Amino acid sequence: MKLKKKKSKRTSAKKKSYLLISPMGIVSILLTCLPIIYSFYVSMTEYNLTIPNSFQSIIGLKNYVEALQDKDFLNAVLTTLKIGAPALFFEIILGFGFALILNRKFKGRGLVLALMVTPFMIAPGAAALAWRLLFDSRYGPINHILSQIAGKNIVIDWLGAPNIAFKSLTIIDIWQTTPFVMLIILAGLSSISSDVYEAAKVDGASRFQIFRDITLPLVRPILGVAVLFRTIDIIKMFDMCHALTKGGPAGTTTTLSYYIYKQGLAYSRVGYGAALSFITLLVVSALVAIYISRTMKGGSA
Amino acid sequence: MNRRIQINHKKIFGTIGWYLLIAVILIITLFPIYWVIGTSFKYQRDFMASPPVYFPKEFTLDHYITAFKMWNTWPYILNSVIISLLATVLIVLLSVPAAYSISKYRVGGAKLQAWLIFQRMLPPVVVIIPIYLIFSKLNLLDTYIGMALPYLIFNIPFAIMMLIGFFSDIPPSLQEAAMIDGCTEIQAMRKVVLPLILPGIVVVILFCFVFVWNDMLIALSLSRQNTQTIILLVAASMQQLTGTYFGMAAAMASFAIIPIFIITLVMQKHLVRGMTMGGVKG
Repeated sequence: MKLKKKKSKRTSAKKKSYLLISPMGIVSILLTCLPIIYSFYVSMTEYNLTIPNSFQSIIGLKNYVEALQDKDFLNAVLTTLKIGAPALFFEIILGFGFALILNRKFKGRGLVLALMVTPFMIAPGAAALAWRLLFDSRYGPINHILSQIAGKNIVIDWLGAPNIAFKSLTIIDIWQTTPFVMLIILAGLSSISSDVYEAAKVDGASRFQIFRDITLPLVRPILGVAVLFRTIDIIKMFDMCHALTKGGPAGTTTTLSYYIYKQGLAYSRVGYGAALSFITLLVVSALVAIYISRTMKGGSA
Repeated sequence: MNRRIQINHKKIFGTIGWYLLIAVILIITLFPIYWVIGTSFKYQRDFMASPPVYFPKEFTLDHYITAFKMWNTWPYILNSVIISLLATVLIVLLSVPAAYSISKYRVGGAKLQAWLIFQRMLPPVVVIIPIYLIFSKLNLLDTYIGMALPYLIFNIPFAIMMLIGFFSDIPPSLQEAAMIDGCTEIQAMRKVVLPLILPGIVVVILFCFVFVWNDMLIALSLSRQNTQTIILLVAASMQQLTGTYFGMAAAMASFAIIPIFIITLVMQKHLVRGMTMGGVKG
């Protein structure tokens, strides 16, 4: 009798828990699973929004074969790396430096951190305009400041020159995302107890030794998280390209996300765009799998 | 005695140097934002000056007025507010019960957690093509609800993970005590848990609002004339932008920046948690 009651209580709790989560589950299925499955189907067709009935022409993996031979697609991948890799490098170095500087208690720390993070919080689309003004070759302060430093007139076409524009996007990304990397590293640093440092100091360790042998190993897992987050972020990079450079000049700032958008929606080749996005999905899934296996094991980050 | 003074000197200079360093970092970080907001208040002779005017002596509201009158900025701002609020309300309504269920009953376990992370990390460009096709069949393009729904994909997992963190801060004994006192689970939830979780919900609301407000790709893909957001207007204003329009474009960008700037300052304490989806406590 008692046992039965307990059991029914447990099943009712189970029912309740499923009832509470089901609306979110349904939304998840409708808005995520269904579109991904549908996208896979579309990627097997020659679907083009401007060609009637192209939806029905199933061509199998032909879009995927085209993607692998598409030089512009390869270029978009390379551009994404060319913008993202140096950005990530400097973000880690600078983020670590800033975190070490800010890793102490002082008045107004919360405010300083919040102000530092604003570049990461405001819309990239609006930040794009800020940088458009800063980079302006006639009225922009960046050329002016550089001229002052160099002592001669410097006119750099930051957004119009094909060998410079992608570097400008790297600079903007460093400005935007260093604070994010800093905050993550700072969270890692503050989790190290001060006893460890004290003990090392008593043992006569130098500052550099403390950094190399204590700080770095303890922060490393969280650094891995930051790198993974950022890698996926770089794959998502879109707003700056659309607002600031339109992927130009001469396609030198067309990133992966922007290329897929252009093929799929701007040029109406949805079948091909879906194939490109599916390839991207596979790459991202692999990265997420690495992240998940790490966090589930470590549990902390 | 002498030595002691020396040490103090070193310390004082160290501290001053440290403050200077922070000031320099802050100035570089905030300069682009200062520049765009500053330009929105400058007279044309100041923003079209060479060398540039760093500290204008006079300010004007003209660009805001022309932004409203000539470029009809108001509907874009309204669209941004409506879409962001609509999406945020839906996110919270779906996430709070789900997060409660996960943190109390461990529904779904590790698999569900993994799925949520996956859904959170998904690049929008991966789902935007099928969503565009489906929404055009359902006549959801260029509607508020159609614009709000795709944001649920990335923000519900975010909200759930944040809320699980906040739920786990509440000792379970509190709710149990309420239930021993004769409350039903729903009553206990409403009277004990919900008030305690409310600040957490506010943080989630603010973050989701920021994420939706800032988006460009989804808004660009799914809107036509009726539901364009302020971000799209700023992006459009940048096509073939000439010097004379700098002030007005800056005014429109300031509308997109200033609310988010304020929210960021309000949320100081929760930034780390939010940026890492509740994974790292700040």
